Amino acid sequence: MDIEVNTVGIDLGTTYSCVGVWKNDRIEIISNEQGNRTTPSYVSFTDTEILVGEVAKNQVATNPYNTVFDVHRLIGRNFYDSDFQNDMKYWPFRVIENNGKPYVRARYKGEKKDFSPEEITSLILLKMKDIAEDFLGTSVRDVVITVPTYFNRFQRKAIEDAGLIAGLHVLQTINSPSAAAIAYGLDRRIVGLRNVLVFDLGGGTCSVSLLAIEEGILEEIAVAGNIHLGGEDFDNRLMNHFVQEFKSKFNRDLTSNIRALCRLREQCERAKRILSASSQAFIEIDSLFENIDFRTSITRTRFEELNQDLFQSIIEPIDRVLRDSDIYKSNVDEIVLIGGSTRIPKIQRMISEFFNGKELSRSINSDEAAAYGAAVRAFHLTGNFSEKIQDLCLIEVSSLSLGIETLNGDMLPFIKRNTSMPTKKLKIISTDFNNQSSISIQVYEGNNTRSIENNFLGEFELTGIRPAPKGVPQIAVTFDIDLNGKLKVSAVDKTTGRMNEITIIGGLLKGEIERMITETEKYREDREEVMQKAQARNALESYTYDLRNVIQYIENLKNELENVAQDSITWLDENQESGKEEYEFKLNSLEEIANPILKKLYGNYSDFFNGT
Amino acid sequence: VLSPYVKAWDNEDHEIFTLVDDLEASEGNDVNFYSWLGLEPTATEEDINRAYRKLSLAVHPDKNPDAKSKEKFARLGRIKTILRNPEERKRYDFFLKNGVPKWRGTGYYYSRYRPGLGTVLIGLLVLISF
Repeated sequence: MDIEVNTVGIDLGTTYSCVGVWKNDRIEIISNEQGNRTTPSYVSFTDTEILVGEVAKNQVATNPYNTVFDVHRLIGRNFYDSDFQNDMKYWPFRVIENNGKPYVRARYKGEKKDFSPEEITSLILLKMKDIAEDFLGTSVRDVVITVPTYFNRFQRKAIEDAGLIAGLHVLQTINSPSAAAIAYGLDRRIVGLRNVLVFDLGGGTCSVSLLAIEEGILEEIAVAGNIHLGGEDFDNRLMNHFVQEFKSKFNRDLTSNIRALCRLREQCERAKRILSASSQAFIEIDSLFENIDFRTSITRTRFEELNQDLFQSIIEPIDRVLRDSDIYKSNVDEIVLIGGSTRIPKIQRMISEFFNGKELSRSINSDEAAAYGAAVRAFHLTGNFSEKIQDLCLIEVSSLSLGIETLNGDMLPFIKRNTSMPTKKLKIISTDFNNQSSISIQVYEGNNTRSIENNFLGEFELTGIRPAPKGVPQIAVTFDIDLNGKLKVSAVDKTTGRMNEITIIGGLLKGEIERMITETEKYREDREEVMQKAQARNALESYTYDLRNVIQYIENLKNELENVAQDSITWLDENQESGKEEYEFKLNSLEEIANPILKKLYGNYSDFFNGT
Repeated sequence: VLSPYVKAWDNEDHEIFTLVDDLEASEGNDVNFYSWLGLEPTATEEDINRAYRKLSLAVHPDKNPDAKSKEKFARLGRIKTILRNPEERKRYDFFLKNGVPKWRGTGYYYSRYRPGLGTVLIGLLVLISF
């Protein structure tokens, strides 16, 4: 049998994820089993199974140490990064170091177990895959996944690895604003050239793309972002505020109680959402800490004040794409906002003000646009044809510069940021000392002028350089990025013809991925087992209760019969000498009442067992 | 003695030379950056942008899975970068008007032609035998 394989687009977010598919010549955003079109990017480990999505998020307060979220801030990161160390302070779950990488240590089935960020991500992807498969009734293999623009190569690779672990083939990772731009372009059937700025502010990251859209061609002119700015940060500010308030009101320190913090965080997120619509939000948490009920409120103005500097920092990436692309503010035709945090009125106001009061485009669904575009892209990349996307062409740029480290620690960029990919660039470099016989090529990625501030990708050595005064030998270094984003750096000594090269792969080793695939399958089996167990239990339980109901029913009927019989006996006692007709009439009416009841008693009770 | 020649052209010049050579090898001897895009050297920035997107649609590797299209697209991207940057465009226009130089420093020829071990040994033998 030919199995129909469908391709999907997944918008993998820091806090929420969304999946879409091209079906019947249009995009369908798929609801999860709770009927919601976005699913929390939460994973919770319990004594019996792994929960993902809504159920996992509901566990945060009751199972704080084993419920993982914010995985975008874990993946592809260095444990010793100062930013990362700071993030860790806000997580109730435990993060440990493993070969310089952060791993999550959770209790699963009563045992301590370490999970790589890739595995956690794969569980979320698996959930999205399941949601799509339930909807489609077929298996899903090929996928396009969105990423924040400022994700580096290792982070993108880690997402691909997570896809592999989830049994998915990642066709491409796509910058989330560009995915939204595809959705936008497709919806509008843009005529002529439009410069579109897409601003994405989600749960954890901020991404900005400036695209030139002409017919079906989308050219990323410039991208920028902030890997560390989003709704979670606003929640954290609110949390700190309330912790302070609690301290001054009750002289108690909430931070000593993780569970209380988790409950407070939930309410902070809720309050933040409310403040997008109304000017005040109330918080009521019963016995939050040592039986103290916490009741308070916050105004929108206070919320904006608490986040003043964070809000201010959204302008920086917008300003950067404009500067990088040499496009004036006034030449931006459309401003499209996506991501949950763009609902914050202050943020909308700030962006509009930055563009001198320009109207923001609100025609697009800010939660679903990225998944929508990713699904279009997936459909397109798998060679499918539809008239609607006939001329679709996405020209992508690199968000981070690529280069090598010079003698004084500066970054010598080869491929500058916002270069269209795939690309290739050659530069001639030379030795730094007289009679230097070997040269070390250290490859970095990042937009900082100092290489130490950037992401180190790898290094290699070119040896056998002939003795010569410094600056004379000519080494041709080539950076080559292929269609899949794979980077190859090679160096050739032009005098001797000696060469050496490095292919930057990053990510997990093949063996590790295979191990994780096997383990993920095991989790799946565990989950399957738990579900089957639950199903079996449910079946027994409902049969038992049905039985009780039947007994009650029989009991009721019996009582009814008892009553008519009793009535008849009473009548007989009182009417010893009646006529034949009267007895016959009485019998008839007794039968009329009793027979239907008897029929019910001896009939079947299938009515009770419907649905079991 | 060689170093002044070597220093004569910088990395940006070399990039233009390489691009010119590659473009001619791939599209024909009479093709230059402008004519490949279907433009005149007097084209405005807007013309360049539009022509770039149009040609992208034709050569983008998404649409053309063969290995050559990747090279072509990469070349197109670099040519676009040069033409969009006024200073680099001026530099290219200079070479377009005056022709690219034949002598480009030793390094350039090494990147084109690299003698194999055999050739080197024979060369050495010839040298020694004198």
